[in-house]
Amino acid sequence: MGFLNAAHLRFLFDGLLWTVGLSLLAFVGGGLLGFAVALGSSYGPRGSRLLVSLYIKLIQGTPLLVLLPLAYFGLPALGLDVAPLAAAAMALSIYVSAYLGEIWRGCIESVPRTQAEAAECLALRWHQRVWHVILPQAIKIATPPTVGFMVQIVKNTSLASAIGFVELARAGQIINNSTFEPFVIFVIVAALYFVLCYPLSVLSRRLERKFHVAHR
Amino acid sequence: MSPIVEIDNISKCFGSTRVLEGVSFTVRKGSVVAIIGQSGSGKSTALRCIDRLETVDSGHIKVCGHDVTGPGLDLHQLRRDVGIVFQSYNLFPHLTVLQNIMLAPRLVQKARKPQAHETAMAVLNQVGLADKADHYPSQLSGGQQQRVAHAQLVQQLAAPRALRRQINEIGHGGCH
Repeated sequence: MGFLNAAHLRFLFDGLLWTVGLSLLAFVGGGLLGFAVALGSSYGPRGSRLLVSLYIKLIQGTPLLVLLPLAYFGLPALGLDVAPLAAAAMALSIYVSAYLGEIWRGCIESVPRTQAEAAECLALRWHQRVWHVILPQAIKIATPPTVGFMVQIVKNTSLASAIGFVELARAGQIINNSTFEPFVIFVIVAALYFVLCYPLSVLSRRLERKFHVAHR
Repeated sequence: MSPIVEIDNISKCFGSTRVLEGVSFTVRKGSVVAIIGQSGSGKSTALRCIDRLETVDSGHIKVCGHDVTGPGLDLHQLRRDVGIVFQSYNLFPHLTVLQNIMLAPRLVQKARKPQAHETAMAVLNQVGLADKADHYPSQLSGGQQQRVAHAQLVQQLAAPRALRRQINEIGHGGCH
């Protein structure tokens, strides 16, 4: 591995940081938007439910590799000035929100209806029922699949290279272009992705087991 | 004195299944009434109609001065005045026994925490479950869960402004 010098490793590490940063942006943005999507499709009036379900189908039926350039190149073409990071964050958040929103809608709806009725009979207001009775139970159900989906987010940030981000995968490509050692380089890149994703997988499985025996 | 519950000729269908047909009865204040019938005969549905968890197709219901089937029903006040213990008790599994009982006083009656805690413990004492205050419902037996549900109900209706009237479901236990 003598062809790899400290500058190469530094370059890879910077790429890794971008991957982590983009993942966090995608998760936070997608989480907030996804929460709105989940509430809208669980509790909204009929019209908003239809709209939200259309949104979910539209986004889930669109490749992220198309959403990213759409935000980065498409919006400026319409006269909207978007910074690269904002475009990436927007496209990733929208993409993630469609999946998290759908996962969370399922979790909200899997809390037995009788729980909401019991809360209703105790004269709790709508927001109190949702906040104190439904969501705490839904969050327990939602945690394992949500953490599991974070693995997908981490890997999908590699597509941000399409709009110029030198994240981990792109950093690997660039180094390979100068060293011509694809096997070693991409094994290292794969290993770094694994290091990011494996703890999430383990956490997801552990949470699943924990909540399985918890008080539900 | 006018009855506390007045059911007048109510009917209710679920699709093509007629669950209630021309049911009428009244309940006087302070009386205990058991509604007995085969499973699936509509006892629970009738009860759910009284607390407006179901709407009736026709007929009239008046409870604690609320015109349940009329326009302008104050649903929130109805729920404050009427309590139900469900067949499966429906305690909140993510809350301890104490939290279950304190939920309505804290959120609906805006009771302060020490005060809510004190009255909740008093009610738990009454049903003999003070030592289970920090347990979760899943750690209790069915009978204990039922007693917690009753404690919860008493707490809900123990508000100063509430009318201290309760409808108890006799459904569980005796008449299956």
